[in-house]
Amino acid sequence: MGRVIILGDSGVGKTSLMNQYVNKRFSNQYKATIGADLHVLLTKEVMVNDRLVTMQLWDTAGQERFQSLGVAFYRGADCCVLVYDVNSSKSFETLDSWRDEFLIQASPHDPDNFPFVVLGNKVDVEENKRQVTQKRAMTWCQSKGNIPYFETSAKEAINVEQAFMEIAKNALQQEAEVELYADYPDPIKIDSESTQNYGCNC
Amino acid sequence: MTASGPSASPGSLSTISTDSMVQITRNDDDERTGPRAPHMDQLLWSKSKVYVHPTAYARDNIPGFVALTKRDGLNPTYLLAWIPETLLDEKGRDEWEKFTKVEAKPAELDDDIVLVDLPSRGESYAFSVPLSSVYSLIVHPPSLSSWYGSIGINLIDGLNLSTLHFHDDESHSLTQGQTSYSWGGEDLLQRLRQYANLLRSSLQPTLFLVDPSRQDIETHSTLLFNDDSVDSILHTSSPVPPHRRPRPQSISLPASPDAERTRGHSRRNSILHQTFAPLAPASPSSQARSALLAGFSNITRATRHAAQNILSHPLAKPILPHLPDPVKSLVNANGEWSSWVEKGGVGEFESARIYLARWARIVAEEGERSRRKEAQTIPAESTSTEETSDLGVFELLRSTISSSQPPPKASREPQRPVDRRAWEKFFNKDNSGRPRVSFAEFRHEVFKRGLTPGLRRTAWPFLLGVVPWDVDAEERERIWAEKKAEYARLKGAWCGVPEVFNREDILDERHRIDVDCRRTDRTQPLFASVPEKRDMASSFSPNIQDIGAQPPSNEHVDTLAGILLTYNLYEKQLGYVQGMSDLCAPIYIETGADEALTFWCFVDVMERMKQNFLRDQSGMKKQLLTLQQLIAVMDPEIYRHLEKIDGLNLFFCFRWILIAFKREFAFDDVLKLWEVLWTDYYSNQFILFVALALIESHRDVILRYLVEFDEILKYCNELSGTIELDSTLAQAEVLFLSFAQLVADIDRRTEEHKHTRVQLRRRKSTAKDGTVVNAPATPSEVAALDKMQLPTISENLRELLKSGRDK
Ligand SMILES: Nc1nc2c(ncn2[C@@H]2O[C@H](COP(=O)(O)OP(=O)(O)OP(=O)(O)O)[C@@H](O)[C@H]2O)c(=O)[nH]1
Ligand SMILES: [Mg+2]
Repeated sequence: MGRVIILGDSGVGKTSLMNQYVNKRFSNQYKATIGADLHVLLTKEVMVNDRLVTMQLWDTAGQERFQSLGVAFYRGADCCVLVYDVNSSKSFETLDSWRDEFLIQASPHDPDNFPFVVLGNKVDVEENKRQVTQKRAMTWCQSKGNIPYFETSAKEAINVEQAFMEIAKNALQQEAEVELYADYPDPIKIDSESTQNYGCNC
Repeated sequence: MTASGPSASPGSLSTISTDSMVQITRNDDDERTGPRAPHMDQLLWSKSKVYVHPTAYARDNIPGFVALTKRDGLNPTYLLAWIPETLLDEKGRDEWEKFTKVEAKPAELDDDIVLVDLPSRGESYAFSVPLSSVYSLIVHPPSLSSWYGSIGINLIDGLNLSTLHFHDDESHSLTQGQTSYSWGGEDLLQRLRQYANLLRSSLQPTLFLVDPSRQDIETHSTLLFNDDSVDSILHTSSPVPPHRRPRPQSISLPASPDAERTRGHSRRNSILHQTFAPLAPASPSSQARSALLAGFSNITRATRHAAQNILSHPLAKPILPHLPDPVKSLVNANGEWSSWVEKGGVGEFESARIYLARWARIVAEEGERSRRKEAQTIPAESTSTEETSDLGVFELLRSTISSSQPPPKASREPQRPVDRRAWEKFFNKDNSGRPRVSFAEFRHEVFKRGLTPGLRRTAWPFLLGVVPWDVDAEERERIWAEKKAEYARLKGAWCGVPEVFNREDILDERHRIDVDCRRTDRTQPLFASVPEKRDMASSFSPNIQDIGAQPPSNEHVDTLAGILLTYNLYEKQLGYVQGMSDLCAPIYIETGADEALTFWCFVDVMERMKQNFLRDQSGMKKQLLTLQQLIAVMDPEIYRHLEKIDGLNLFFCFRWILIAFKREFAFDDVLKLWEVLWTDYYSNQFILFVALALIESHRDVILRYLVEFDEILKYCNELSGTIELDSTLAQAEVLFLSFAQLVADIDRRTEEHKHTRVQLRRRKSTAKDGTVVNAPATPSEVAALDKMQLPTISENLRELLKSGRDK
């Protein structure tokens, strides 16, 4: 089972992308993901190298205030998806801090090789609204260790399937590598450390 | 698996078809005698779509028929056989039909005899073996982790045949529903019992010995295969690690009076497993069952949708054959269940366990409903305890701690809400606008009855404290006029003031607010309309640079955003936090888009809920901690379960509390719930009892099926839109009252204990000679006292007893 966490500014379309992938539908009725909603978990069997696997996709809230909760879920992730809206340069500029934050909180064994995938979403919108060029995005991705990059539209289902295929592949590879570390904490468990993080004194 | 695969078999299909024979490829001594003469055996019983799974890949699965045959002779031999469909294809249509015919109608004594020739062992995993050569069967009925269930066959010579997997869903469609409603493997076992003695091992419950030797009987002795064994197998044999296994914990099947009587025979631990029972058409228990199931046809719309959604799910397929007819009729009924799916946003893929849990829940609810209905039609049976037994758990709880008082009852009467006429009666007739009833009485009425929709606009400002209760109309007007002016002033600080409106930090807030308002309650008429020719930007949103592609706004969406921005400047320390738009939008709608009124109502709502939005999350943490402690005293079993699965952080309640169940109930129910919460009638934190009520009403499912933290989270997130408000509130009320009783009880006993201790210490006894000596408590006496350790009631918990505005 691959565990995937999806990060990015509020409103870039994280929830929409997941629903497009998992349910093959787009609706503009999705509400802002808040609080514990961030753990909505969807599993899907995907064909990767001809094998059936399960993926858990964790949707998170875009607002920093709720990230203190999300942190508990960073740790078990096998792949981190960074989403921005190609029509908002601001949402692109924050990718750096999303990535850094993830690496700090998740503290993977091999941060340099931890799999990320970047999605530039909402490419269905008219070209003249576009604020981030493909070149700019790809340059950034290359500079961060050749992160795979996809331009998607959750609305028109453009490239969504392909992007998640790549995500699944990365997650599974990572999972296989992680299993080599015998003492690696069970990713499903919210261990005491992260519980403390949340501070519920449990 | 030792049966040879196709690759290992040099035998060719042509050999088979010409000789009606199968090339033997195994190295078995008894079968190496070359092609045998064709035996024509009588086909007694067969079952289609029984698969062999040679590899872990589904694409390699081989479908076939399992069959029981009889070979005549001096002593007839009975054989167990499996033949792949491909071999039947070779033999042609007629051969196929023999099997499907017998499957639909197993051979009885006087039936036409259907003769078939079966391969013994070899090609494509086919086999047919005399029952006398079968040593044992390993039976795995369908379980949460394996949908189809399987039977493995061990031979006396120590070899084992390919494990058979019963794909009942496919088989069912093939035979157009003529098969029985039980698991295919169970059918086979039942049938086998006619020809052999089956002994279920007490050592390994999945193991069934075939015609066991005396010695084996002694070692494995236990009762023969009976109705309940499938149940027990399910509980003990799943390959799931122990902590993940469904617990044999009672989701009690609603017991009708009839069922009660036949309990010994038909009661099962779970509704889920209950469906695997063979349906005996005429037995008394089945009459009780059908009476019970008749209730299924009377289900409400909401649940019907839920049931349709779940049952139409691909994962439900294996279960369908086992469902009672009334439930089955829900499957793919021409309903709008797809919209339900859309709303739930869950779609086609989710883990089987959660899915099963939801299914179990629905069936349980229906059973409960029909049980209640039955109880109504048989008034003699409905005793006074009947009512409270709906509320399940805390009866248990009461019996352990607080048994002295009668069980509390819910008092709400939501079916007769306060309407305009009743409202007017709250006030003096002299038109002064002075109330005749106290504020507390007014709040009590709202708690008990709720408000009619049209009255909310009038009554909410009182309830929330926007305008005072105990003044006359004139005074109220004056106060309101002030507030209105104040709002205009607050709004004026940004509206039409570009230096503020376009300030860097305000731009950020505007962006956040704008993005959310465009996604809040857009199905409500006010927010739904979208004017034509509307650019993505609006009068409110920050310049196009930052908004990206968001759904179009409208006038009301912009006004809502403006209210939130004003609040942001009014309550500076919070900033806009996601969730605020969820709290504000319903007020805007109910006040009829009255901007100033919405603002001030929202201010008061936020007074109550501000703690939820603090930057350090301290308010949320505190509430979740209190809820955790509440669970610990009210339902220790659930508490321990959550502890075990690392669920004590109660993440799954986060959204419930943060926005007061806004996302969990239907819009109209949210309004009803909120006005109840705003009354502060029993407790200023009544919301925690609502949360507890929800957990309690799903406790069986949680205990039984949800054994990982993320499962519980997903399950609870998806309860959204399926929860009945009034019964939840009734339960919350009873829970509160039980809690209050419990605290009183604990306090009383703590006092008593103290007292006893003092007395023990002072105890004197009179010695034989008449002198009085000190006789301090013995250590065992003290230990006995300590053992009766009462739960401690934390400060947080005591705060729950505070009500009204007595802060
Ligand atoms: N045109 C267009 N709009 C989109 C697309 N994806 C999402 N949207 C819209 O963008 C808005 C935000 O989408 P969400 O999926 O809720 O965004 P999110 O990233 O989950 O936001 P948070 O939950 O607040 O973090 C919604 O109104 C969507 O309808 C897309 O591919 N094209
Ligand atoms: Mg979202």
